[in-house]
Amino acid sequence: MRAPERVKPVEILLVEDSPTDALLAQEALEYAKVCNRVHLVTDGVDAMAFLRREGKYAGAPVPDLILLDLNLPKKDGREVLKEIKDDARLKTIPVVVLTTSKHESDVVQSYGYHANCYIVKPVDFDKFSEVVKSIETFWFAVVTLPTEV
Amino acid sequence: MLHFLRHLFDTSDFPARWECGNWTDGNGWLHILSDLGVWSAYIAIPCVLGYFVARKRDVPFRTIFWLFGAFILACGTTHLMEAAIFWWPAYRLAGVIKLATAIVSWATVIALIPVTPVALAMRSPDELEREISERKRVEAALQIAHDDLERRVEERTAELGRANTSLKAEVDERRRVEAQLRQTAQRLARSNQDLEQFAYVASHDLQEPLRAVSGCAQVLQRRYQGQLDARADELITHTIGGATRMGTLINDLLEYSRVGTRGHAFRSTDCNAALQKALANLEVAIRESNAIVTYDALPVVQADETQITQLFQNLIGNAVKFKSADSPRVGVNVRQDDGYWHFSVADNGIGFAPEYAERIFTIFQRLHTRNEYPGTGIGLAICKKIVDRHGGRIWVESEPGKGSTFHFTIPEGGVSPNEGS
Repeated sequence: MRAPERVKPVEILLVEDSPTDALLAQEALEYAKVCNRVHLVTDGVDAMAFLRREGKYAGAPVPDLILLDLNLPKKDGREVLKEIKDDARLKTIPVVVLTTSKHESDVVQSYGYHANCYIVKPVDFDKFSEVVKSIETFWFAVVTLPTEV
Repeated sequence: MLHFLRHLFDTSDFPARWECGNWTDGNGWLHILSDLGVWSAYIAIPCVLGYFVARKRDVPFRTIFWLFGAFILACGTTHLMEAAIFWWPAYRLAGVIKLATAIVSWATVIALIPVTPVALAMRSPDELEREISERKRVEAALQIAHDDLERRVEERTAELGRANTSLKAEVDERRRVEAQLRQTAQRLARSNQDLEQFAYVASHDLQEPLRAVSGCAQVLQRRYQGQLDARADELITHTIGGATRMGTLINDLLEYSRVGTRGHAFRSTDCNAALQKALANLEVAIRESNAIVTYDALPVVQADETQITQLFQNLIGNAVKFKSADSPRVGVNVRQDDGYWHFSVADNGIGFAPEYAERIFTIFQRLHTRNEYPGTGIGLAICKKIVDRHGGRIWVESEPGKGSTFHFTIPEGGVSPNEGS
């Protein structure tokens, strides 16, 4: 079932190094209720470049939501999180940490850096699909985003 | 009196004894010679006594000896006078001498009175000799005993010396063994660390490709179910199934390795509480199969509570899962057995042939296909690892169609966790 068209699609920045996980995430997002556009970056450096509209990302839109994996090459997802939330302009963007790590230390640290929420990726795709749906429903149907104001 | 003393030596009033009576020469000289004999003897005797007393300085009753010497000397002098009176009748002098003798004699008598009982009490030389020889005998016996004691002390000292040497050797041996044990403990600690790392890798890095396979297969199923041929649908279904099972196997392996690496130190554990937790975790399964679980009052043991709960949960879970046509009845019993707590979990389930009794505790070994009963075959392997860690034994009695009874023991006194397994 395809998402219905919306005047302005929701911009989602997906920061994920595993191409398979990225593919599966995009697959799950395609079945969303809300119309969305997924921008994919595969490491932390590119993530910050996209957000700052540097280099090849000069014309990039400001994302409405960031889905952030923690274990990334070059710049680690934890560092990216910290930089985003330290930046006056970027910190208003909701960051959903979407990772395979169940470690208590990662959870505590992420919330410590002011992640909006922390989700452990389920192994089973159907369950993952449900999770993605609930992310969308919550952040785009329930929540009022700062970009909507 | 004065007249008497002035005429002490005056003989004019008396005749010489020769003239007094009919003295024959024989008679007269008999008296004279006898008196002179007595007088000379009565001088010799005091001389001997004096010599004796002078030589033996420590003689008792020295005074008596002097008195004896004195009165004998005096008495001798009277006899001299008796002889002299035959020519020189100095009767007054003779009388004085006799008086002196009487006085000294009575002084002796008086002196003897208090001395006599003392003298009687004195021991005779024979008695003293006997006592001396007795004392000498005792002294000899004492010397023998003393020598014997010394000999024994020497022996004992030598023995102790030997024992000490062997103890030293044993202490050195123990120290060596201790050092070895410490090394082994360090090796085990490192090995445990390695296992922990391996477990982390298994849980983390293996999940990613697993997710890729499983996730993509599921997406394929979602996108293309019914759009390709039936064989394609089947293949996709099997792919998903395989990936899911691989995930379960990896989790089970992790759980198995964690029995050792995530085990807690042993504490006083109430087995009743552990059993109740296990039953709570199995609530749904118990309810759905109408199972009835009965149990004895269970003891408090030294154990890891989480693992004991898991042990009960696995055993009772199995009893419910492998049920027969009747609704499952499970009995948990305990008794004391020679320093161990002997637990048993008995069921009325399907049972199995006794020849598999050892195999079923092996990791991933099953007696049924996954279509017949769910599970990976890790439950009993985990039970065995837990029981081993606690220093006990686990075994099973069973017959097909007659149910199974699982037995396990936990030492009463408690041991330190057995991490070698």
